Amino acid sequence: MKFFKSINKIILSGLLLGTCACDSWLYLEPQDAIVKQEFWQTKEQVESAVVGAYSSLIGGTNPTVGEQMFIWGELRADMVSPTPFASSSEIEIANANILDTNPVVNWRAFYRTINFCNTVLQFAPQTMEVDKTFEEAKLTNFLGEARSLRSLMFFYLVRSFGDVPLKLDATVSDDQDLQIPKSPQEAVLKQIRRDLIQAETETPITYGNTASDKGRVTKYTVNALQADVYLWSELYDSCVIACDKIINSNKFGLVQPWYRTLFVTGNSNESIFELQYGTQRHPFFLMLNPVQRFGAAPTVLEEVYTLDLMNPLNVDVRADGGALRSDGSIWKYMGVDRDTRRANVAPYPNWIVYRFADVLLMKAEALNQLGRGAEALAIVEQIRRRANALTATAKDPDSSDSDAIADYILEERARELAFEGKRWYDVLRNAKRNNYARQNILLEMVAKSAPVERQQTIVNKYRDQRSHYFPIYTFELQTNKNLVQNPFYQ
Amino acid sequence: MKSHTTLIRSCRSLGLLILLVGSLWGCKEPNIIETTTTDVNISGYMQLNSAEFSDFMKMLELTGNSGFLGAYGAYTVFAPTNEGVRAFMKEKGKSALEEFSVEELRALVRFHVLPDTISTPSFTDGKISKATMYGQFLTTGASNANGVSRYRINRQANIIRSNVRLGNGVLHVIDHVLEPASLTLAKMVEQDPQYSIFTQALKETGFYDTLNILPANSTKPNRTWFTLFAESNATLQNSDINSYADLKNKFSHTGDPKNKQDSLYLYVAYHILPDIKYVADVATNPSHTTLAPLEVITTRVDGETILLNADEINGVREPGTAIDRPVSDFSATNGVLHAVKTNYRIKIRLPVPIYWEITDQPEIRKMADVFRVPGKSFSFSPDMLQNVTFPTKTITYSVAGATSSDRYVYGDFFDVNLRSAEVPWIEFKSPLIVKGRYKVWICYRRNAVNDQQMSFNGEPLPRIFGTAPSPPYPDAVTIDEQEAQGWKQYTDPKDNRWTGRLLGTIEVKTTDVHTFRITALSNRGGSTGNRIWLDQIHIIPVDAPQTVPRFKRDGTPVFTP
Repeated sequence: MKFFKSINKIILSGLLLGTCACDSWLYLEPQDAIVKQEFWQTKEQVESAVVGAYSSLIGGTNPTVGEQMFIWGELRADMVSPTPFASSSEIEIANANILDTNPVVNWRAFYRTINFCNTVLQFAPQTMEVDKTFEEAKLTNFLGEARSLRSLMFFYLVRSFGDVPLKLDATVSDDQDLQIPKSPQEAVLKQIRRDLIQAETETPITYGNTASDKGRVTKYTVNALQADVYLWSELYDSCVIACDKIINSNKFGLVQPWYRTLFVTGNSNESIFELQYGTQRHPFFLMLNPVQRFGAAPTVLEEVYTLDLMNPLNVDVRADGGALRSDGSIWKYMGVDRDTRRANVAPYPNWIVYRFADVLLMKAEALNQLGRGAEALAIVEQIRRRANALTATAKDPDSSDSDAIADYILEERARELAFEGKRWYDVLRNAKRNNYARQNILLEMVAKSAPVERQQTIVNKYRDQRSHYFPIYTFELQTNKNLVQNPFYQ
Repeated sequence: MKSHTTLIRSCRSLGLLILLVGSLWGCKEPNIIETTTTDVNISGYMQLNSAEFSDFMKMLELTGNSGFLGAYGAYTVFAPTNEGVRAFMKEKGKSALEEFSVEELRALVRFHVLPDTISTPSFTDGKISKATMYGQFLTTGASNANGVSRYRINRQANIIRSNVRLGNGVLHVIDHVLEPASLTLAKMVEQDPQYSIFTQALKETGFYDTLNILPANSTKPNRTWFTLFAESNATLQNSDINSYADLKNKFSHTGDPKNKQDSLYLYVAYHILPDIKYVADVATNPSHTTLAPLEVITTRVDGETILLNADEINGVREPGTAIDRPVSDFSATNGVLHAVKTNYRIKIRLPVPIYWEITDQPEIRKMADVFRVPGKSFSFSPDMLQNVTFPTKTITYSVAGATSSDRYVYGDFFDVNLRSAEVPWIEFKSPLIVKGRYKVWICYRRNAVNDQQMSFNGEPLPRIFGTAPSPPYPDAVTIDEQEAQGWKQYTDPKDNRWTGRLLGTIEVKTTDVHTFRITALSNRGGSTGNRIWLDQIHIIPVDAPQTVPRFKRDGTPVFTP
């Protein structure tokens, strides 16, 4: 009898103990995605993760990284003016009335790409142990691509915000501390330079086909980015070395015809790294067609390029019908030729991040700072000859007058790289050189392009060097309590 | 058994006791939040930050204003910090806020509050669009000191924290107390010895009294606020005027400056605008009326300089006079004072004939491969040309072919389908026309188009042109008789297909840019038919010869009749 009584107890306690192991009943895996534990098994998966990092540049966020590369690089400068169709936040950026609630300063898209790169860097190596067909050389290539893309993203962030959080590990778990404080600009630049030196040894020279050579990171992409970073960091010898690597490879040249080859067909012999849009809408087709949010500033055709009034057939190839049209619309990427507009359908043109002309002009800028003014002028002549630049824009500075040569190079960059997202960074780089020795370059540009009723306020705002960088977006400040706002915007 | 029941009973009572104690302790007051938000109003915010604002709050209390900044509404408050208030008290030599009179404090408080929410993105270089509750305007700007830029209000205080959004408005924290202006424009000019000659001129012409009236006391509608462009003694010296006597000799032609026809009176009147315009407001409008009847000053922006009366008359560019920005934008109780760098006066300009080539537009000039290139044409849609506006469809700029026999001056013309169903009207902004009386001729290729009427600044001109059937050109009579009938041939060689039609006489009241509009009164022809081809508009003073010069195709004028 006693045994039967206790058998109930035994059964009950047995059941109780048994159910403790039922944790796995409540464990559900996502039905439509692959978990980290099941990914990173084959080299194809690693490659798809790398390609995913590239595609995060052209889609997946609103605005995309490609769009912000244009807006951050042009809107505060003097080549682009917002039309009445631009959003009020964009107009406020152009008027130097930047509040931290302005969505244009949201850096989310850039950090998303950085996270994808960090994920590849952190988890790709373990795939080599699982997939025995995965060669070390291929892994190194992938790591190099991820490292370079990450550096490119950080380079944009550093030039636009100054001090930014330096996140070098992937975000994979809730347990991670995501409240990262800002790192000073110089620390981030140091990391970028270090990463690029490593990436240069890791990335391939070619992938075997043009689309991949221009759309994915090659050694030359790394060199071009290095040249830009060294120029920003005022390390001119290293900049010249990086540029020479590209020039001496003899793989790149200045193409003709300028418009068609670079901006219609794309992936040309001149380009080094292009965002491959294709079926994804090119940022200009979101910003300029059908509703035109931005137009060319009125002074561009008359003052930047000038017109030959005596001989109307003598034109700068990059002027009317090239970078812009005389009705004030931006024309790069938007047309099939001088007169015909490109339809707003796929396949879309690519967006050039670096091209050979850019590299040459960066070399010229570095040479000038090293006292080799004559060589710098020769490069500028080369660029001008290709484009049939008009004599009205030709300058003849003395080869020892480095300020005049620097101004000439800056002007030629405006003509050659108009609307390619470079202008603001070019002006800021020249203005802040040698501890803001030539801040006047920035102030003059801003005085010219400011609306007349705010001109003095805007010029005085830009006298404060902290205003040259964006504020951190409020959302970021609210979610990361360790971030301190740029004191100019407090 | 007995112990069993007592055990149960004691258990029960223990249980009840535990229940009782538990319920007393467990019964906490639920924390019901009655407010819908934790946002505070302006007074509430200042109370939360009383370490910064206790002095300003004291001012509000003493003037009885603390209530309304806690209530609902839309206000902007520039709140000075305690340091700012203390610095102000020190400057005035007072040691406590109670030593000020309630009136003074009330004026101060009112000067710091605006009856609307204004945040920093709407700040310009000039005044805030709404006046303070005191009645005077605040100016804004930015100043840079030691590499740090801050917004500067009224040139008296810097903003330390901006755009604090609260329940009933916006708060900006400033580091000094703002003081309203206490002098009228007249007194302000008088107390500056640099303006002694100009002050005397103001007194002698009677404008001193006009500029000495507070806005609240003004009786005339357009005479509340003023803008004065004063000329300092140094500026006048540069034009060889060393004393008031020199000024009077130079300008006064009747000898009585109080006379409204006297040119010294008009000279002073020309320096006063009947509204409050800071330099930024002056720069945004191309022309401003002055107190001199029908005389305007034009403005032009050149880099960072604002120029007055820098015009291009008849191909000659006048340099104009620059506003001296560091000594301008001084607020008075009834206006604002600016200084100019060189002497300027009303220019006597005689009416000159304008042979206006309407196709000469800056946007078309920029198109070097189309502008006046034989055989080329370009279609414009409504917003493309800044001086030519029309509501819908397109107009075409065309240039006659090199071998064609067309007689258009410079070969180019506007091809417009001017009818109510297509382009119902087209408006042109003229070049600067000196005031006077003019006859207006429309020069076009004569054809049976639609009935058109031109209007000048909104007033229609009597003659309707372009009618069908088109009246024949009166070849058989003399040129003078043709002119009397309202016809002329304006090309060389003469061709009665290219005619000028006299539309009427206009009275140009101010030397300024004016608008001419051609409105279609009928709607004949298909969607492409009956287009009008416009070449020039001639605006000729009534007493000048009307039929000469005629123009060759390359633009050369020919003066033989």
